[in-house]
Amino acid sequence: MAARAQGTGRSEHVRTQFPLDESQIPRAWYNIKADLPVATPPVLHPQTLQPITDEFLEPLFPPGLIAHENAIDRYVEIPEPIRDVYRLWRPTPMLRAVRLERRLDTPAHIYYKYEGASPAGSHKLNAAVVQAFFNKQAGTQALVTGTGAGQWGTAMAMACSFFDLPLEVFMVKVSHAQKPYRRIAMEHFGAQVHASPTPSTRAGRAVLERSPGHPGSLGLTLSETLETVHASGGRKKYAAGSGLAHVLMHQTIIGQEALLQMELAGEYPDLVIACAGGGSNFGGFAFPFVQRNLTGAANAKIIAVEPAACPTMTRGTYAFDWADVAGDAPVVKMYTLGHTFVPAEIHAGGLRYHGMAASVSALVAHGDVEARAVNQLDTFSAAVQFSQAEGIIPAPESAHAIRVAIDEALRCKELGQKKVIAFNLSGHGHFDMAAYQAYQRGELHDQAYPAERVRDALASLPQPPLDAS
Amino acid sequence: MSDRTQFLLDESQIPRAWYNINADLPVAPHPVLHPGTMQPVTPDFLSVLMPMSLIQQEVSTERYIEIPEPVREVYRLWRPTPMRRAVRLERLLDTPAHIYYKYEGVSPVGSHKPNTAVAQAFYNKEAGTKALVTETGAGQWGTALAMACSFFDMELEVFMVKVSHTQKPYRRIVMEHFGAKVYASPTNLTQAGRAVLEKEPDSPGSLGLTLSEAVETAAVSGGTKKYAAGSVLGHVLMHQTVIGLEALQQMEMAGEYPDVVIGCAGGGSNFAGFAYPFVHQNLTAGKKGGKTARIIAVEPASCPTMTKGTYAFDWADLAGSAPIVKMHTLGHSFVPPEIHAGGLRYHGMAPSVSALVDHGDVEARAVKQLETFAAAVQFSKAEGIIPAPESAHAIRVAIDEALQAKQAGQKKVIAFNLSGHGHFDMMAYQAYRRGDLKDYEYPAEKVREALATLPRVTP
Repeated sequence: MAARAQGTGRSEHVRTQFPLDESQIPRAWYNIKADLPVATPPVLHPQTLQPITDEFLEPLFPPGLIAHENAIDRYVEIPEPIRDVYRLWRPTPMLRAVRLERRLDTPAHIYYKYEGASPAGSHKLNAAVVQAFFNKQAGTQALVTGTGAGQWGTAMAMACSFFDLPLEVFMVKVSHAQKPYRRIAMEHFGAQVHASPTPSTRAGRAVLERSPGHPGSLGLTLSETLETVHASGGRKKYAAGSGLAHVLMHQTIIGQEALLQMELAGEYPDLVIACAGGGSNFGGFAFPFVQRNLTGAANAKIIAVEPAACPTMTRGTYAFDWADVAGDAPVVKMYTLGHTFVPAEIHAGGLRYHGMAASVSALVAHGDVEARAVNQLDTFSAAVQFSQAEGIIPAPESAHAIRVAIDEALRCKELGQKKVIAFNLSGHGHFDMAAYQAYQRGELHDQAYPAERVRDALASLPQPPLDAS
Repeated sequence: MSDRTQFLLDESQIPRAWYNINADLPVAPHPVLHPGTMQPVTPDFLSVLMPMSLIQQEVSTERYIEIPEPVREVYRLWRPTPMRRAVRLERLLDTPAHIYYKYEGVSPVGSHKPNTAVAQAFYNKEAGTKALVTETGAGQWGTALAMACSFFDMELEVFMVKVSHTQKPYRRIVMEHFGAKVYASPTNLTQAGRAVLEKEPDSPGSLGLTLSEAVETAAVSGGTKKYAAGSVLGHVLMHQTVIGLEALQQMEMAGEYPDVVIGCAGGGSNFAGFAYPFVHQNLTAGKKGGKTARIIAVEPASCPTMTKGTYAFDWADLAGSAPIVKMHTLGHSFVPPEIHAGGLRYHGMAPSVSALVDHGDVEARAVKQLETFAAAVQFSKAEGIIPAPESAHAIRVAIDEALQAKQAGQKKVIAFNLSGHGHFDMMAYQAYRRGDLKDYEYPAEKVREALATLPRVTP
């Protein structure tokens, strides 16, 4: 840049923005189930280990969402009131990172889809709005959910406020105290936020009795959430932030818009990259590109990025396991580190999950999606590099995708290849500045892969009947 | 809902020139005076603080000044910013009014401030400046300049009010993320800072002092360091006019022209940036029977510079080391109450905004803190965005105007500037929700005292 700043002469103008009109917000979600190369095994009941029925789901979700969870149609129409809300921030921008390309001095073209443009600052709002709408429509009186660092809780609080639906959030106690900004954002939208463990559920009380100063865990918030829903006599339902099929499907508007935007750019990506915790931001961005691969229309390399400290896809096992820590949630065939595995306290809270969405797992197992693990320090240095070029401070989760995008761009430079790279910047990091401070101060570390603990955790997998798999 | 809500411009529609209100001001601007001699300042005085290119802009009377391509290239990272019709808010208020808002919160640091930060970093880089120095209160300006300096590979030193440095760490971390050196002011790096520390070692600092420390650091650097201003000065306001120039195009897309144009005003840069292109229409085409709009500048009732202050010559800073300008002022020694809209806690107002208010071209309105936060909550509920407390002042008046339209059964078109988001201001929202915020009475006594200390100028 220094050289460019010397003169005021006009430079070659490379197009950097590919905006869509609000009329181009997708009219349907894309359902990967219609195109999966292998059928995903049934979801099993947490106790009986038999395939679950709608009766299991009905206390948790309204009929509209159960229909989405079970849908096998390729496209599911988006109701107009939801598109109305999407119009507040969608279509989201897709930008070409020309300044980053220049800094890296790479022949690669780098594109990023920016979901941080949502008023909640992340992609989570895409699914939250849908869940609030269908629950409101079904007469649900309140939603209940769990949140770790608060990205999902914030989105859900905003969505519930849009549809005048009360919301209760169980937030991991240590985050509740240490990350007040997202908690305040939830309360701003009228949500009731509990520091979990709480004395108001059996699960919470049991933990508090044993350990009154317990810092809480994501698994426990889920247990407290489910118990609250079950005890409500049908008045309260559960809202899931990732992992489930309907949540991933609702996120596919990201990738569908990105397809249109790449068309505007006159290029098609050779590489499609997103980070994956439960899989919703990855699935949302990548599945529409995966579909084109599966139907033979295109052949992009699809990469799901995870933290080396929680390497579900790269070091885990593809097996049946409980979706939650306590064993109350269904048993799903997925990549897992074992449901009792507690990941290290890395700052990308949204990627600290022992499992992975069933569809993402099936695609990785089948070789349609490549999984890659990156270290914490490498991701933060990528985030800083990205900020200095493009301005945006990425969420630590999104920085995982940036790390791999930069790695691939540097490889292009080495090989003299002009590849087109597209990644999803799922959120901004304005609520994560404490993590950046820790990085600046040298307080962050790379966590070695906890082989021993994973081995222990994998020993506690359920033994489903043979016919289920 | 079939009503269109988004009015998007292509990157090629980013303005190619800034609009300079000096060309159209209905009254000639008053000279800027030296803080000591009280005689009109010379470029020499200013050249210690800023490069000649910016000084020329400061005194220019050209109507349009071309935006250098490297600046437009950076603008393209987030500009043109969206203009939206707040249909959900209209529905919530059940008003026949149409409400439009320009959203500057989409910039990477979340406010309009980078529009001028990028320009100042560019011109300084071009002039060979080694490092920039500035002051910041809550940190909105500091974060914008830190990002801009990072873009142009320039060093930046920021003097941040000590109490904010500790209590509002997030914006400080953002500045450091972009490589800025952030000092908790008072520091022992400057005479001004040392003088305060000797008297009061635990001084929490003040915005006035950070300004003195920043200016002193630039002044004694032998020309290697220059000062960057976040508001008030003519060139700063001019750089912000990209906002209003885009908004004009976007209103045209919407097929409507605003009856009311609203911005909040602290030093004046976000207000002017949004409103001046509309003021231009009022002063030119409007005078020949074209469309006109009422222009409203909103300020906090606890720091009512335009509505309760005096239009007089006063120092631009607390210590009396910055130039003297003719403006609306509460007296340079007036320290406003600790309201949460830190960007609006300034004793003065940009000279051009003051001149337009004095001449009757701009209407000034003061709103109270609690009703401002109530408006912010209402806006969030309808539109999702959590506004910066400063921007919430504009929202308050926009809602008031919309409710008035409802009462009168008028189909008014209202346009306001949403200058930033409030993601770094969540503690203020917590204080509001907990009932810890209050409305401050207008401090008539303190203002009277402060006004007694105005410089005696015989222009």
